[in-house]
Amino acid sequence: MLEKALKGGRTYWTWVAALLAVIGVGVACYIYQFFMGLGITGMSRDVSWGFYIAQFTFLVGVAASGVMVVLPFYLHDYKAFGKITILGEFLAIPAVLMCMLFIFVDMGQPLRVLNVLLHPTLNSVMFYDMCVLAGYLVLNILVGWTSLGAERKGVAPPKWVKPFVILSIAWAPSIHTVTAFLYAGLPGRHFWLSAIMAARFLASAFAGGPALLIILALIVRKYSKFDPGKEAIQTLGKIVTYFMITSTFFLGLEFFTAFYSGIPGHMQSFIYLYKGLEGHHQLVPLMWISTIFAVIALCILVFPFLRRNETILAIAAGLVFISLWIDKGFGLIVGGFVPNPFEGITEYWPTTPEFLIAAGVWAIGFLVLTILYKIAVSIKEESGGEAIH
Amino acid sequence: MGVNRREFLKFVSMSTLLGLGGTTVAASVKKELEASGPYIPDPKGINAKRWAMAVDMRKFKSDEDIQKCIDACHQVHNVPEADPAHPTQEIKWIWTESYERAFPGNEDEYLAAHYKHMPFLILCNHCENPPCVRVCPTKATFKRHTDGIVMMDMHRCIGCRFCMAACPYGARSFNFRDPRPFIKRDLNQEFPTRTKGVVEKCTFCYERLAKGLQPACAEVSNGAIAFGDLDDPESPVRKVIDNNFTIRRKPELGTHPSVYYVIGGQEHA
Amino acid sequence: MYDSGKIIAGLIIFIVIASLPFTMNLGKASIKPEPSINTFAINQMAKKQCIESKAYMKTTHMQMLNNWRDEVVRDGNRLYVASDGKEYNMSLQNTCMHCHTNKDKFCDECHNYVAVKPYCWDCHIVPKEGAFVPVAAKAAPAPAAVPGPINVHFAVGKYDIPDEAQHGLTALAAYLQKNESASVVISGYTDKTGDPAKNEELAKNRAKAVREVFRAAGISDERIVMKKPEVITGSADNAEARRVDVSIAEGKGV
Repeated sequence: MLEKALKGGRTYWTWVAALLAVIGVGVACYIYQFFMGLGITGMSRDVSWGFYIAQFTFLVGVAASGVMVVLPFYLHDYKAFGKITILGEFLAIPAVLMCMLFIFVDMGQPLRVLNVLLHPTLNSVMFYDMCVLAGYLVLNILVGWTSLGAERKGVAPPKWVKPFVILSIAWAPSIHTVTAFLYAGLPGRHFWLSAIMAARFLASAFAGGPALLIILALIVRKYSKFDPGKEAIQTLGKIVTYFMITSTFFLGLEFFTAFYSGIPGHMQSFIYLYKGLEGHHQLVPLMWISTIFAVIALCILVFPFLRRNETILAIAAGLVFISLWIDKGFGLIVGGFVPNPFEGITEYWPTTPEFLIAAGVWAIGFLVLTILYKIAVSIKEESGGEAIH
Repeated sequence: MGVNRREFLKFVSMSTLLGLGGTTVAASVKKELEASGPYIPDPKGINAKRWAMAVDMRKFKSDEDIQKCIDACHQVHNVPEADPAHPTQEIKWIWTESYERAFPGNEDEYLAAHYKHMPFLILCNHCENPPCVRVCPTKATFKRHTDGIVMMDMHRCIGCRFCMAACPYGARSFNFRDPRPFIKRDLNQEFPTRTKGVVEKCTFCYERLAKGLQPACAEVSNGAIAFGDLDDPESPVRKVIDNNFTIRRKPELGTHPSVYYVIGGQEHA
Repeated sequence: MYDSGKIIAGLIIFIVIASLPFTMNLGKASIKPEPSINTFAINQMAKKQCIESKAYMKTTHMQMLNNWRDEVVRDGNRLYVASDGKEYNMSLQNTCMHCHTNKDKFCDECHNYVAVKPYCWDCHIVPKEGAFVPVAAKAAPAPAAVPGPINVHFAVGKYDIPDEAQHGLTALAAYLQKNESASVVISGYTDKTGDPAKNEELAKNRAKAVREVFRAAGISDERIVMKKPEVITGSADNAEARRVDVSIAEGKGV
């Protein structure tokens, strides 16, 4: 089926070439980082996780959100999602791939990564993270590829795919819960030490992932003969709406606990992010952009007549995606490290090489996404589109 | 036609993967089973059930006294100085912090200035229940079962820095670059340096304990730092704890730190 | 053939790339590695003995070091009881490298040959030339009697120092360490047989080999005088002629 990705028009190849260029620059910067060490990034002794881990955290959510289209279709026979399921699965694959790449570029000794498997540590959440991410990648490739292959031949997928689909539905929330557990179990970081961390993660994932999927579906419809379906996109819009409300509500809950209790350890990170602390306010503009985007998006999404206009829906989806990317990426990660365990402040901003490496990883993800979507769309165009199950 | 091209390619790649994977697993299992030879502890070494330290701030008469402890540690362990271009990416095993920074949560604006500015010696607390050990995915940092020291295995560390996020005391440093160009003091030839990409911290001078010596900081502290076995009622550290009011950092987190501080009364004024 | 142009072009590119390791190394056949144990500490040993036998160390030192690392770092055991019952401190830096102070002529010889780059040295400190010479040898200023000159005899065509000469050279080296003002004069000779040009090279190599012994003992180059003899083919007796003359002189750079 891969040969489908080798046939394309001018737009397609220009896009691929642009991605390859960004990848090339990212790889060059990574080689520089590999030899010089992580000192070329903006990370410090106080802020020991930065842009890379932030991207990883956000993208795990996008990967998990594949379940939002798979579950209704496979478990509840929601036929409207018939055409879009493959797009959801094929979004999860590059998302998980990017997660793993972001972890790889963040490691101090990447050549030793197999130590995690050679010396399994059952009390370490990171060990489980590696296992569940790898498992999810395999699951999605298996299910997506097999279903698509069957559709290409015009038959129903083999029966053994069904249990793997059910497994992937259960697995998806687990990958994001495990990621949340990386943060939520650390006694020294009060900003992260919240019982609803995993709930926040899942809510924002199920808002942000489908938002991206809406935009991708609209792009697919525009640039090919495959139409994922107006109803599917509208349902995704409803999903984004409800989960964005939930996610914003959860953030409000955090604010309440921090500020009503008045405990400095709980409040300080919020104050740093949204107001500035002791003269340090580098992230304040970014956090307010995230908030404003979220408010505008919600104001749009809440009204069905606005959602029904697909352009407006796309804009709202974009605002949701960016807002959550800032909040879950930058805000959450850096906020956990500021103030440091001594209540001192070291600020963080990615350096240019760090940014370029991250861009390179995103470009790799988008390249894989492009290839997979090209294959899926080509086959769907030929077969007429419905997944059979 | 028996097998078509796609089937053949699938078969070959699966076999290769299984073959490579299988031999790797077999090799690592074989290494584990290989003759491990007789290894014994050094009879000169001193042992304890649980090493601990008591820092008596009253006994430090000047900043130089404290700096001596820091210098001794950083010299013996080849700890590099910070790259002047990146001062926030420093490495420190032992340093000083003011009262508010060492014991955040205990702030009080009416605290006497003398205590507010006291330069508390800060280092890894070698907790009884260390969060850093709990999170390490490779057991590169681990609690030694023989004596309770929270150790670092530099050979295994993958540089993920999860331990740095987990430590509530900010005791750990990461090698953001190759440290060797930044080691300004004479290299201690008997102790290795570290390489870029691994995390490091105080290890209670395990290599000196193995030779029967006291930790470097305790040795030059002129009695200000008492070091000994918390489980032994006769040890120097227990004597300090028995006879003085001591506090530890962030005890409410359940980490059970092994470093105690005596702040003292006005006799230090 | 379908698409024959692309296939043949692809095949040619593949063959070129796959044979690069061979084509790039044509004519650079590596010399068999000869790790040198010519260090001061080893020369001082009455019986030159490593922790285990040479054969065992050759095949197993990697696993042994791995096991040592785990035992020291993870289990707190510091001593290794060798198969002959002797106890050694398990430390690459403080045990192995104390005798094998010449990493580049010992460890690197084999590692370079098989293109292995163990990253031990990123952290573990490589001893400098002359490191680990026992402090007593350096400090004692006792004015000992100047040792007389010695001759080191070589086999035909060879310039590696025979074992029986080590003792004499070590004694001279020890004297030089104690007496900072003394220097050593080295002159290399060959017998009359063979090609004169090759003999000149041989005499030089013999002198250089002896020089290495003194360098390994930490004697600086300004105190090692390489004196080329007027006539390198020595006395009538061939066995006698194949030698290096080593003598002590007062003052540096005579």
